[in-house]
Amino acid sequence: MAFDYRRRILGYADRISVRPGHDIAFKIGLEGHERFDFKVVRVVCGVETPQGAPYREVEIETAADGSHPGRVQRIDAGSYGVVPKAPVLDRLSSFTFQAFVMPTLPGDGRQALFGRGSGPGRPGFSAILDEDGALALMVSDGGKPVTVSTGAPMLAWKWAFVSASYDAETGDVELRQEPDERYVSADSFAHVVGKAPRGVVFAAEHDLHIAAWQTGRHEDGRPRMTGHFNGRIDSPRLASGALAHRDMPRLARLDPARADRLVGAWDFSRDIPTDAFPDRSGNNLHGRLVNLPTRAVPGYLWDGSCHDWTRGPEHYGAVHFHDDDLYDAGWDTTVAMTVPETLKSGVYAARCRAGGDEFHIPFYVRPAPGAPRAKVAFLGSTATYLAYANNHWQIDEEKAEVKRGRIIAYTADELFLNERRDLGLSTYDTHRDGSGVVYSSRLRPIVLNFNPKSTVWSFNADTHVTGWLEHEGFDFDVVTDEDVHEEGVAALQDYNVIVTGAHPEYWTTAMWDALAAYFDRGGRMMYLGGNGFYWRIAYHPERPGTAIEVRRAESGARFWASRPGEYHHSFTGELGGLWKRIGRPPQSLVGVGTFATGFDRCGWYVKEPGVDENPRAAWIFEGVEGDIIGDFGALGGGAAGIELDGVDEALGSPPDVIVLARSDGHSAYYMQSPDEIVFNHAAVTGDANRRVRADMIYYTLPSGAGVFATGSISWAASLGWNGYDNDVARIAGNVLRRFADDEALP
Amino acid sequence: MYKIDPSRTDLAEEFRAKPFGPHGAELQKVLNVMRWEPIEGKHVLVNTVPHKEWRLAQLPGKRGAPVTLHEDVTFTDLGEAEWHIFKLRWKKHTGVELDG
Repeated sequence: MAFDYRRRILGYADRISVRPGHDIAFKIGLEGHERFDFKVVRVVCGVETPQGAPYREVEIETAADGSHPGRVQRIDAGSYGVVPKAPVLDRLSSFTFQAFVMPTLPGDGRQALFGRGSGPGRPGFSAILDEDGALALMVSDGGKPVTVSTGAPMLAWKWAFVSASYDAETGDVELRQEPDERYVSADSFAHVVGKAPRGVVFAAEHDLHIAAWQTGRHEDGRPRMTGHFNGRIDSPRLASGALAHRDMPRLARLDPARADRLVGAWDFSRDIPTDAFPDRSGNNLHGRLVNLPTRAVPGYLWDGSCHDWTRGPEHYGAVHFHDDDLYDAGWDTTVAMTVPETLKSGVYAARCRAGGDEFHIPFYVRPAPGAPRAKVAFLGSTATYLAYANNHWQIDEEKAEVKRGRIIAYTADELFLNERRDLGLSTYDTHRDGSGVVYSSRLRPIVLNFNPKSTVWSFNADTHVTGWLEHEGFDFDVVTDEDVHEEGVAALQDYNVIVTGAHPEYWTTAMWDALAAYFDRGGRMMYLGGNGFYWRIAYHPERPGTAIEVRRAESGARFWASRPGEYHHSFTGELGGLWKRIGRPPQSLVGVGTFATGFDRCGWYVKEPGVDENPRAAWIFEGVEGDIIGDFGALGGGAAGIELDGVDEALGSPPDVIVLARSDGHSAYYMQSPDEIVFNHAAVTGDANRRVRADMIYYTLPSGAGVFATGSISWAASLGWNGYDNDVARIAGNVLRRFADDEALP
Repeated sequence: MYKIDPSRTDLAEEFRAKPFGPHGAELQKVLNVMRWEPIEGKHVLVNTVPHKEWRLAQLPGKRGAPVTLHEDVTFTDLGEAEWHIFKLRWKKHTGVELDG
């Protein structure tokens, strides 16, 4: 029987962290169904694993329960710039367009650079790269467009100056393609003159578009955009009249001598943290970018002397457009709900079902303001879930199996996502042109890594922690990365202890500072994961929480690398990359930091000699027999694995940290993390390297703060082993009871 | 570059006995060559029933193109699936078919 991996219900919510009384809007798209059943569930354990905790959700009664009508909702992926129509553009007839352009997929279909859409009876023009990747100008008087091409393919990843002019009086079209670099047998220099209909005045009906063209509107009124460009555009200019070649450099640098001809001079080096880009011509034809093309990337003026766009924005006049960018899917609300006042803080999901199809949309409910707090809060790593959302790397990456050390067994969702690239990418993916994905949004359906019933990773892996908390009867609230980012330490300070998930990897500066302040106030943390506090990221500055930005700068366990000059976030201007490189190693915040990674099978811990005799530490092992801990688990068969963190005083681990146990049993597929190695050698693997290990640690601070850390991603997936009756759960329970207590720590 | 020696069927036997390792250094070399094959047509698995059933498949080598599923080759044991693909790759690299 053919394997059916298609998802026929998809959806997302406008927010993921709410409180009782808040409104939350669910946007559902159906395929082959006209109605669906809606039910809120509390997610207890998000994924079934052999011998691990069973999948469990608990139905919750809300006013939104029941059958709802739905319909197909479209995704319009691909980024572009739009300049709204304006009276000054109504008179446009003869014109010159010019820009600096770096195509990254020339020859991969026709791609728009700049234009105003045409249609039957509606004149328009578009400067494009044609099927061969050559600059071309399409001019239409309302009939079939006439295309004049340079016939010379542009070179991928190389800057070139391009211009396209139209003289209405003569019908002359003139094209110039002047590459920065020239080659003997791959010369893309061209100067071509051709003919188009005379006397065309371009209709005012459509907006101007950069990097895509409009072919009418969808039934819902949204523009139908196609011909998405892949590559960078810098300093696009529009002038009235067909300019002479000698005037073009003056136009590029906004020489006042040509100001009378200038219609639009768009500057991508301004307003970089936002979607806006200003027009500096004086006509106020300001534009905005759609679907988060990459900003803060070097432009044609970049010469390597500036790596920080905040200090030299003139180096950063480019935007990198991709036909697979996606920010806000913009779906209509299908179910609106007010969070019931009685809903307990926890991890929830909107479950949508139709026929045999099902989709969950997770969200977190925090306590109402002023309501009593639990002593324990679970921190949902929502930034990390976004980093991994709709990950494609296993299917796109040639070395995926070498990295994993076994045959990859793809899930239904991976097969579905492979064919549905319009659902957007993860920050582990590359765009179609090979450039790294720096943004990830939650305003789109997330099928993988923020969705129950998929793999034991991200959201699902963390439900092993909350499932354990519930099973043990611990009263706990939830808080998310978004909340900590927005509210700072106020989101944390009411709790005696914060419990993390398996992989709190991505932290904004505000999140980091909030946690540091929490420790200063005597807060306690159970870091039940690995590879945490690793990457510095930024949240969208205008719509907080809706998207993250990651720059894979210089070092770290990376699936792609940021190009030189692209290490600073566009959202904040901060230097991106590893917290370690920025000067805040994870060891300085939580005692341990990334040492190694490996993905074949997991190891176990061996108790450190003397720990049972240490009165400050012995209580942690109460009820635990023997020295081997966690040689079982739902992820790789052991509690110590996947990504491993260790103690290093030189990187900031407290000198009085107590190492409770160290991991062992790691294969040759475990290796030191790249940021741990400054010169390659043959003994980087788990069977030969002392630093391929996890350290289980405990320490206190003078403020009264305490940290317990396991330094392993697979720890959490071992909690549910044998019906939660195991040493991993026992150790975690011992620590949590003590940390939640108001008494001072030993 | 390391070349797989078709006479070293002892390495194949070692893999068959312990498909998930740990593996000796020589077998590791064989596996490194096999695992870093070009992506187009690469044999992989698809998990058709979570934790219970896997199907032989091949990657398309082109983004977005469907993965080819071999409907008639299914496994209920991951170790057997590893061995099946190991045999396919051994044949591809050495021209020699493994027994078993």
